[in-house]
Amino acid sequence: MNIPLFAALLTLMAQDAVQVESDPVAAPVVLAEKQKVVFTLRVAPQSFDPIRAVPVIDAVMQSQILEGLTTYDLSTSPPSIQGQLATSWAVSEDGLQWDFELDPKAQFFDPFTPPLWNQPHRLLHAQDVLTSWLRQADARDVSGGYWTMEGVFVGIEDFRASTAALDPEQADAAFAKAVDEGIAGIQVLGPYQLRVRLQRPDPHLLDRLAMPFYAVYPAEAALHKERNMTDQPVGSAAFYLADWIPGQQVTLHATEQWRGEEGAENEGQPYLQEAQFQVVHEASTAEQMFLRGTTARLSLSPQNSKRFLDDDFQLLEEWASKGYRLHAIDNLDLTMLAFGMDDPVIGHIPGDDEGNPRRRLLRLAIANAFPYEAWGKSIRKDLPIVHARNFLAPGIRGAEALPELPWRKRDLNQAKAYLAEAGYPSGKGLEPLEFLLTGTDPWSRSTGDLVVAGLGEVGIRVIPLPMPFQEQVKRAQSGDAQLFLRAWVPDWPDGALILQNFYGELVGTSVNLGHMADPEFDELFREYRSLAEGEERNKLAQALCARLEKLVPAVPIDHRRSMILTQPWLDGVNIAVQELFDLRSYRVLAH
Amino acid sequence: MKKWAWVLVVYLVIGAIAALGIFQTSVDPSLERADLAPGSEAFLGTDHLGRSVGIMTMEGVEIALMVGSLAAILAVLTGVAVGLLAGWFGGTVDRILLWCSASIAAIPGILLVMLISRLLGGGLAGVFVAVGLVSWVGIARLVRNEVQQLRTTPYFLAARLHGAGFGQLLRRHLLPQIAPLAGVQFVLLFIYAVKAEAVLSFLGVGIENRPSWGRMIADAWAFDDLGQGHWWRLTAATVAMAGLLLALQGVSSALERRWSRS
Amino acid sequence: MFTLSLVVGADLILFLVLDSGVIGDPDRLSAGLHANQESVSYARLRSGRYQSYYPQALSLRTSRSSPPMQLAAVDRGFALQGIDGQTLATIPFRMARTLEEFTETMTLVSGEYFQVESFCPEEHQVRSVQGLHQVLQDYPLRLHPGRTATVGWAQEATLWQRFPTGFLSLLRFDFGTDVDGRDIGQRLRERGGRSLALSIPAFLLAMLAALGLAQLAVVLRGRVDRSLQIAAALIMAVTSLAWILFLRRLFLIDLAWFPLRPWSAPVWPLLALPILLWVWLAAWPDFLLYRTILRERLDQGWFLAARSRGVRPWRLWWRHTLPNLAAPLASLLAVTLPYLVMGSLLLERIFDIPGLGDSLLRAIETGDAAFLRAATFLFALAFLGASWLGDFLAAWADPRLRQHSPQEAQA
Repeated sequence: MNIPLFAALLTLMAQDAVQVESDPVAAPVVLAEKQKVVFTLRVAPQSFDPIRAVPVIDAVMQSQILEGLTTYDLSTSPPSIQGQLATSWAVSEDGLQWDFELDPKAQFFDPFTPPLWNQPHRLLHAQDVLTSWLRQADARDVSGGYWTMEGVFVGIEDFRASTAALDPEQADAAFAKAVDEGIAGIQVLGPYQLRVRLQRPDPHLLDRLAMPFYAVYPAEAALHKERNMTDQPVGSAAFYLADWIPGQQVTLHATEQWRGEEGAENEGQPYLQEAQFQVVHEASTAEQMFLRGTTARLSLSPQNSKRFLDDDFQLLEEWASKGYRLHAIDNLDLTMLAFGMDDPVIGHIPGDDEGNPRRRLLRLAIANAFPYEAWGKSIRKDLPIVHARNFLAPGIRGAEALPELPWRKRDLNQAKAYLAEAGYPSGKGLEPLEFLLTGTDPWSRSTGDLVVAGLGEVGIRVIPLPMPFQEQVKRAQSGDAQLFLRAWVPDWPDGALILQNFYGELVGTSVNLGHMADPEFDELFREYRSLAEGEERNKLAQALCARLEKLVPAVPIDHRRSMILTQPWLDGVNIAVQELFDLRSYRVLAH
Repeated sequence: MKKWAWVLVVYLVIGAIAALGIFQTSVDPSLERADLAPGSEAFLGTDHLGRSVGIMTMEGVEIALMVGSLAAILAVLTGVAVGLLAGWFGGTVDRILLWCSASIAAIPGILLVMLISRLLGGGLAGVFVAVGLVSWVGIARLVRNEVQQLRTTPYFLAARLHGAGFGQLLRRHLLPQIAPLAGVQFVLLFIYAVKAEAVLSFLGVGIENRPSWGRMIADAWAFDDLGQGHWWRLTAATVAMAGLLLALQGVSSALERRWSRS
Repeated sequence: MFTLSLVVGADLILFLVLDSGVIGDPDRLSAGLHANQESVSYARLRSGRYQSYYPQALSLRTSRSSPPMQLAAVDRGFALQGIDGQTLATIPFRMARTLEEFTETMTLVSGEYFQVESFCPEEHQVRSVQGLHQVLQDYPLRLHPGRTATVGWAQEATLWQRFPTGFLSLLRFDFGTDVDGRDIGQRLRERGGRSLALSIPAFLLAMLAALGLAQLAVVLRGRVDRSLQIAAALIMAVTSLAWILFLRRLFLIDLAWFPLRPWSAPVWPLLALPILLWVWLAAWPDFLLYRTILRERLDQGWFLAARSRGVRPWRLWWRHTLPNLAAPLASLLAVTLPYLVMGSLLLERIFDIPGLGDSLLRAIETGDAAFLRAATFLFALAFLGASWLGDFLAAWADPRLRQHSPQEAQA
């Protein structure tokens, strides 16, 4: 998943640490009578429909109401996969067939009018899984998540093409047929049995199915003509959408009888009765609300970090003594300065053995001239970021053993030396390089100004080009980019999702915008992504990063770190990477 | 009138010096000089990237003068041309031009300015062309009315009877009548264009790479200058803009007085 | 009729501007970040830009020994390009007019450097290559050695086919859905209502304040008049952006005289400061305007005579000055109404008010062409309706305007 830099939502969604009772003889926890919390959001969710679950905040909100076959256990780091609607699964030997057993206690809750059923609950059926997923692949509507299905499930492409028939009746018939009979890749075997067949083995299928696009909901909630999933989502999770003012406010209430009558005593039942999310664009407003006790959580932003944190980014004594808690989450994203590898001035052209070394030296010069410290101080405004040591963030499986990149540091003398060796002493003879920014807002323009100044110190001239994010992607995709800023968030904690930015077969898509195509890297990558987690996979990760170290297709800058403050009276807060939070463990202490 | 004229001259001089490229705002990559308050180290303080606010303000003069004058010239020329054509030819020509101008007027101005500015890629050209293209409607209408009125005056009719051609009538009668009106409108549009640049930059569609007052204000909001107690960037841009606008306002009032007297 | 033609004109101008892709390609945006040729084409089909689209109209297969290539649409034809952009072969339109001819030509251009086979199903063979060219303009087709790639064929609806359909649905007030799938009409109503909650009280208060100041200036004259004029000039010279930012900081954060919370009931306390700011910004230009009108309308000799006869000021105001202002005020009010619905873009953005102005900004940012067209359509209708209303009100308020001769004086 790719996140534009100015969607600082990453720093705002909480991931909170598991409260481990350190003292086993601690006093019993006294809960407040009213279990209600208010949170602030910087960006408003736009839709609760899984076919539109593209923005991060939409996906996170939907995950409170809708469930998928699998989800993440937030108590481990990085989070591990566990079943949600699926209680167990079996994989065939060749890895192409997965059979899932679904939870017979799972049920949907419908709080809206006109009501879908005679009573507010209905039990889940495997058919619902099939219909929800088919709706994602339906070409007649926006299918925000179809790209995760393409090339994965057998027959999904044909299904999609059949729904795009120009005759609406034909398209309807094709859809109905697939719902009735299933498609080759997704079959309903029984009320709680589902079979999935893949085009090629995917050891990360469970991570894929945890994505919001695979949420399961009753078909009638989407297809009934007076209902729509955007505003009236019907799901099986522990909370439901009680009130929603688009663009301003989301109110969730705990579902009664979640997981049926027996579920009331089960674990996982939420403590909270109500959670309200209010959209607040401005950081100072959010801060005031937190200080006045209205909201339970505050994501520290560049503007207010100094007020709460000391120079070592620890919570100041005045706050710690009052019981406020600081949670720091190291996210797994990567922000990098990427090069257009098919550019004649700065790229790597296969076969050009004479020019490639020179261009590589130019890229190294840029890596050594980039103002990393200033970037951290002014662009990230003193929020602790984790300076990137290599391409994979420390939380990614296999990243611990990666060495620090030797050229990722600011060394002006070294940069000048590289520049001279490349044939551009003090930058003479080098035409100005175009730097594509990811927006036209002041923050993006400041990144441009900083890079211009930083590289200008060794004589490299840069022209910053502010443009809307979509335009930057379009230009880079078509190969018309020399330097551009890139922020990439993996959809699950897997190195392949970061390294695919450099995979040759993805040139021309929105993933490999730098147009790097190195046969050696590609071969290693193909092997890497087909392996399950383990030592062998980690070794490949190292080999891949070593190749990147040699080719210098991009300069990794930093990984973002979210700093969240919580009220002393908010308990059960679970921080994990990847912006996921689970309201079920939250509880309000008496205060 | 005199004192405003002097103030304008000061601005013009600063603008001319800025156009020569003498002022150089430079980001400080080490950020040691960032966020300095006005004082001995930096005349009007520095911004979050270490650039001198004083120098940026003076560079902003050049941008403001360029945006204002170019937008106003474009609008006045277009408006006068359209108004002359509509007023002179009347009939179908008049109706078509009226339809065009009314259609443009029926679209929310700020929206159209933003879209046209985006269309032209932002930047200086984007701003002044957008503002110019949207603002000519008012002038056109005024000129059209003037021309229509003039056509009925006795001395005008007499001149036509004497065989004066369009060109002569234009030079001798129409333009001299329209000139004061156009002059006042020019100044008003200048003011509007400078203000519009600030708003456009704030909303993200303005001047790109060069420091303009609008960009300074936008940065002040985005980087929460006031919240951190850094008042100088916002104040410098505001005061500089206010000075220019006051001077222009003074000139425009004087022109109006002179016009209504004659 | 004329009014309708103006609405057509306004929509046409906007349609042309938006269609040029200035706020982004709405179909590409709808297809999302992982858009590819297929998903963008489906989006174009949904939006009506494509009349028809067949996803698997042509397949191309390259041999294992061929280098990686791409098939791209170029000026007047097609080109097979290597990975560094160099052209390996061109197929101009005159060499192949239908897809069938295209497949034949493809075989011809294969040589020792690369071999490309192409296949086209029978039902698509007669189609014009223009449809292929259309699809390739979005994305060139990547050809990996030893693999088959499929490309679609599309028929684009012309501008003159798309505009009327769009405009006619606007006329039916069928605005469709926005980029989030939400009904635009409903959204316009909700947000318009909030903008009006801000702008109408602000406008009325500003008008009253300006009237009061104008009265003071005209009645008291001399130094009061001059001071007010100077104050107006100074205050107006400071850009509204700066006023809003500074005063917001002062009253909302530093002094905390107003509540600081997101938009939620009760909303009036949240609107209080923005309304006051609007009044502060709008009252001064209005004051100058009313002052000018009053000065023009009131004959000073008559005024002094009435005062010297002992006529009280309030009576003068009620019976003489106000009626003089009624006509210009009425037409001003009517003409300003449509702008009031839009609210203030700046105030809404800075104060986080979810009104129409804010959603217009968001529509530009997200490339929501449908929303912009609907909003502009309504605005144009309101604008033209209001102009007509303004003329009517002015005539009703000021009997003089009902006469044809403007010289009829009030008795």
